Amino acid sequence: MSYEFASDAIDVLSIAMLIAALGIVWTRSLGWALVLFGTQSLMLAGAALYAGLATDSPHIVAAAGLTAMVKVIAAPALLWLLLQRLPTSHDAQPSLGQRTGLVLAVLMALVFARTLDAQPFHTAIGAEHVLPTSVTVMLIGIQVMVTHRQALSQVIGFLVLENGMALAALTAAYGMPLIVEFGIFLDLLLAVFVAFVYTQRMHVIFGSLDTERLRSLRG
Amino acid sequence: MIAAAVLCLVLLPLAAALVIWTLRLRGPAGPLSIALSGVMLAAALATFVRVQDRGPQTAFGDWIYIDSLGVIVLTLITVVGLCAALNSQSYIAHDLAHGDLRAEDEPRYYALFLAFMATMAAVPVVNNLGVMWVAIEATTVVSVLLVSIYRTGHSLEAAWKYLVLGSVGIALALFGTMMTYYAAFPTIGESASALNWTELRATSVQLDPEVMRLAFIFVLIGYGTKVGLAPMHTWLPDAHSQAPSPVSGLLSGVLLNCAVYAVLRFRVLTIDATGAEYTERLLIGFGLFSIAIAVPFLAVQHDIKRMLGYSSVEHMGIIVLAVGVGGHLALYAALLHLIAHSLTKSTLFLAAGSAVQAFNSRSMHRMRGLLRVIPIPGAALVLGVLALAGMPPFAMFTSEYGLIYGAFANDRAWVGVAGVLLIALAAGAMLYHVVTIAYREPRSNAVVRKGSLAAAASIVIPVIVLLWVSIAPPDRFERTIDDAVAILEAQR
Repeated sequence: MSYEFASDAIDVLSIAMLIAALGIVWTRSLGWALVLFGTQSLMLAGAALYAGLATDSPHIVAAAGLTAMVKVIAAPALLWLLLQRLPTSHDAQPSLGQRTGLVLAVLMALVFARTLDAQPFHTAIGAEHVLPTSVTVMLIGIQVMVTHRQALSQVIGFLVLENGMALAALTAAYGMPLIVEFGIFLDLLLAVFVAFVYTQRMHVIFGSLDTERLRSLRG
Repeated sequence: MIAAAVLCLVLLPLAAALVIWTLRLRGPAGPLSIALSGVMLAAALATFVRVQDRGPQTAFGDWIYIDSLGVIVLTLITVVGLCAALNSQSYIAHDLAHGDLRAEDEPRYYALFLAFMATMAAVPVVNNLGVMWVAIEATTVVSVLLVSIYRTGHSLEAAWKYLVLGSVGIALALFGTMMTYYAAFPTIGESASALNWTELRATSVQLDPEVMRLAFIFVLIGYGTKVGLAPMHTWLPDAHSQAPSPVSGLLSGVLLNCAVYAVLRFRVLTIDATGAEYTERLLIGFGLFSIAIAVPFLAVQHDIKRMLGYSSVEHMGIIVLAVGVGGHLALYAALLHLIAHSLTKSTLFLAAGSAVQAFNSRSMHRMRGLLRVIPIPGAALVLGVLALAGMPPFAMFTSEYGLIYGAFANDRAWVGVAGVLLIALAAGAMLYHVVTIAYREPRSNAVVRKGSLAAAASIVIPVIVLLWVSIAPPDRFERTIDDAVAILEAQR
């Protein structure tokens, strides 16, 4: 595969991941948010595959496969199962209006694109826009965690943050040693599983997944 | 020998945890956890002596690397861990008898306890900073489950906050770790060993300074969340107060150290690459801010375990401040403070656990006649708070003095002045509370409660060790801190 082609493809995929993140900010439906997250993970796996093939790094290709298994299939399936099982509202309960949230995210994207583009980082395969894009995806993930009150929506925000980071890791920073990748995915899966257990318990104790109810410990 | 020690420290407790979990062991789980904690302590002490006599040790190829800095953190984990294990049996028995815990929670508790110990012990012994990240993230996942072992709304709330904030923090730390890998790429190249501390340190002056600046800010915010630095500290008082008290002792006493340890490693690499000023400013800022945030919460607190949680925020602030000030004296003070804080907090949380169970309340106003109702934990509580307030002869007096002296000596007079003021305010708040609980008459119907011998030992041992290293520190102790300070001193 030609180097330039992979570089362009990764740039395009990273922008598409950013758009998916904006979609997650926009939508109030948790079902759609899961679909968007799964799509974003698929694009991440694709970007990693291109990066791995173009630089001849088998461990990045392996990481792309792991991404596909964990983030495209396992994590969304687990959350989907939960969504079906709990008779709970499928509304993300954003505390910001849809438009305000989107404007905030776009502003963040623009600011970061400008500041980080001003200092070009040399990436593994020349895809120059990947780093600012991935940092923006990370920040949008944090925005979702902060502004969405629904517990499952916060989990999705965390996974978006993870995706942004993985994009930077796999394309810009040459990936991590494979054993570290394995550890990261194991930890990630465990954290999602714990969140899975907790949301069920939250539903039993509080009868809803609105994290506004988690406000009794103060001072 | 080091390989065997590491197996005893990490794999053995993990295997035992798996056995307890799958077989649902109830009776033998408590004694087993005490025995394994004893084995871990022995392994850590053997490693301690070995590292001091022969320098840094490696094992399993390059995967394990233990130097004086790691050995300090490791030994503290096992000392505090043994005390927490000794305390657990009577603590859990009390909660089972009162219906706060269900019978099936007992094997879960011990399995998670041992797994928690193993993940913490892995942090200071691994060479690869990526693997270290994996271990620290694993401590979060395991300890979150321990925080929520009481199935109440409060403990769920604390655990959820801890999981969410801890996960975000640790994700940012991972980004910082990746940036470090990226910064090292031109000099070390693409290999699994490129994140090894030994390789990074050998070439640290050639790391790309721009990238290392970016990496350090992510590492500091990320691991800083786990350290409990303000303003990322909000999960800490909740989690530390809602967990079972032996676990609170581990969380406050030694888990925070693991995160500090990670920050210390990255700090050296960053200073080597960029010069000292950048990290100094950040660490001093976060340190002072953390102490300042903790003071008002310490002053108005009624809940004894929340007070201890905020006190951890304060003391982590002091440690980070001392690291930021830098120089031999302040770095020595930082490590001494880290050791003294571990021992004191472990005793305090275990003693507070006894007090909460004896008075059936966490409010300090209800703990009337503390010294008569529960003499040993009560006395330990008073002594511990005096130690935290920096009273001589305890080591924290020495370390805080070292920090202030270091600040003035390094031409940072305003840091010294601000530090003295804030530390004095926090100490005043703690002393006020200790007067409240120590000098009240007990209720007329109060009965003296006798704890088990193991529980008493778990509370007294750290106090004795603290007094030992405060008044007559053994030569090995001082030499190890000196060696660790040498690791922390940058190459430029």
